[in-house]
Amino acid sequence: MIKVPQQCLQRVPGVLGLALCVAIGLVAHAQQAPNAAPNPNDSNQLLLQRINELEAKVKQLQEKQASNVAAPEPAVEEPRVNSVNDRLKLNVFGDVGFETADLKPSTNTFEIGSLDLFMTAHLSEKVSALAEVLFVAAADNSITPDVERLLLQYRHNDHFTAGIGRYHTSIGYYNTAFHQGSWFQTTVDRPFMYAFDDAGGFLPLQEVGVTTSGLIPSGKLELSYVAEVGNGRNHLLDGEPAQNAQDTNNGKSFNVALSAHPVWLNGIDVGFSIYHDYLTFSDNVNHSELISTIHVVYLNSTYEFLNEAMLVRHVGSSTGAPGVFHTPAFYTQFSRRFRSYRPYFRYEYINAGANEPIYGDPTDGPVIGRRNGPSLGVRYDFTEHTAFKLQYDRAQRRGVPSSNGLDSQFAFTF
Amino acid sequence: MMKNKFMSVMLRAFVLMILCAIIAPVAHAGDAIVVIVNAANPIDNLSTAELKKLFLSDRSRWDTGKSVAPVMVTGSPERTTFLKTVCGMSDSDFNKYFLQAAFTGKSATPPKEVSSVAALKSFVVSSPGAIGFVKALDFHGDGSDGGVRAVKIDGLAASDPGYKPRM
Repeated sequence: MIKVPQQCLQRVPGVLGLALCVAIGLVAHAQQAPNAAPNPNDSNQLLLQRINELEAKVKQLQEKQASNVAAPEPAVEEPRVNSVNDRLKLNVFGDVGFETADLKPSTNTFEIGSLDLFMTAHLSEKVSALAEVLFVAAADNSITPDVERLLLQYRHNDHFTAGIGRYHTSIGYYNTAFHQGSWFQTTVDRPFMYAFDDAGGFLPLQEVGVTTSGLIPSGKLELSYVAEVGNGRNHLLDGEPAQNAQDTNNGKSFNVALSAHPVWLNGIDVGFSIYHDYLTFSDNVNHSELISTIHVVYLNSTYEFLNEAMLVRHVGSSTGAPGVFHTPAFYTQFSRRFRSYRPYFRYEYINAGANEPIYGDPTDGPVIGRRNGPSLGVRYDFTEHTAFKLQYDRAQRRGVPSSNGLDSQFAFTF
Repeated sequence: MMKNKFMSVMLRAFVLMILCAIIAPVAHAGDAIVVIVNAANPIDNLSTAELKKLFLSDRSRWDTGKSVAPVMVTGSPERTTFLKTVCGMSDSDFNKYFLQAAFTGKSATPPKEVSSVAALKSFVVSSPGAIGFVKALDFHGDGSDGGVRAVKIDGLAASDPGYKPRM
């Protein structure tokens, strides 16, 4: 029987442990320091042997890796831009929920918000098409399809993209950032100043015409522009907001927007837009309409801070007498993400005069009046493509009792 | 007595092993992410902001006129780190960004996704406008990487102190 010296026996576990430790360390750094040499004075044969093995393995791996790169995979997929087979992309957005309010005659109700079919296609490297068909439940419970957007686009380069068709007007920030899909926006609904016509909104948010956009060479200021010419909007009450096939006059609406995304203030978006049109509604007076907006937005993956202000200027009273009417509005919205939860707060304000020729005339659309109040809520993204939102609203309106509302919404995309 | 000493040494060795196991991954923390382009691309340096634009499809062409073709390895840890440090986004934010970009009418094409570092390098080798990123451990810079080369970020090479894209 072979006798092992007691001292050696005592050292074995320690040496083994040390060897394993060094082995782990070496594996971690193997490719960083493939030529690291062992201490020649180290008499531990086990360690030397292990190091030699590891070095051999590293060499093998390096050779294998080099051969992989030297012989690139033959089937390299091309970018999808010109692909014919999968050129059509379809996304569906929807939202459903339950709402209640203490303002009569509203009732507690489950509701279908909208079903939004959004399609895009690259027709060539520079030409693309975009279509959005919306199904929205009306107050009379009917559901009708609506061609929300239909746009053919040509992208010459990063500085010039042109599109023709029906689009969302680049008024302010919110209208171009969030469009119809409720899933994109943090809150249950849009700020009132950007509400769509079917939700009582009053701005010309949809247009039929030509839109151009692009980046302006501006160094670290990173300016971008939008310039649009369209038919303008139609009579508001119970009608299509955009003049899809027939303009009521030869005059066209113009919209110009400019925004900056300074490199040194990552996440900041500052900009303004100016929209002009002539409106001829039921009073047969040609009203000049000028809509000016400014916005300061800060966004990153954690914080969302949206601030927008607007001033609508209408010229000429409904009786034809000269007059200038201003309608100011603003909202501020702040939210912070905590993992899948995003609590938010919004305050909004709008004040249209009672004798405003467009917003105060019930024959031209809903009377806007004054309304202001906070909204408080939380968004919970329980899957990557599904969100639940719960929102409390308090609204104070001119001539109407203050009201409280509670909305819940499931918004999703697939 | 001898048994107790043996157990004591074993215990010490075990603790040492645990410590090493903890230290080993930490040794990896801070590994640089090397941005690579096709060897024929004359670009030598990119700012972080430019890099972000390239991967978010805000810039579609190189100065040479070639189409920008960003590429990344699906599900890799360097992808997550790159998106966070360069784009300031999580994986889901990134996906949402491109969905929203399409929704707003922007002609934004998301980066090509491949399944391995070898496939990524292969794509960069074969596409003149391609740009991708790999861990420093996966880039040798000694000619064994084929037709790809590294680009400085904010004037710094991956081995320089102060280089930002790191694990």
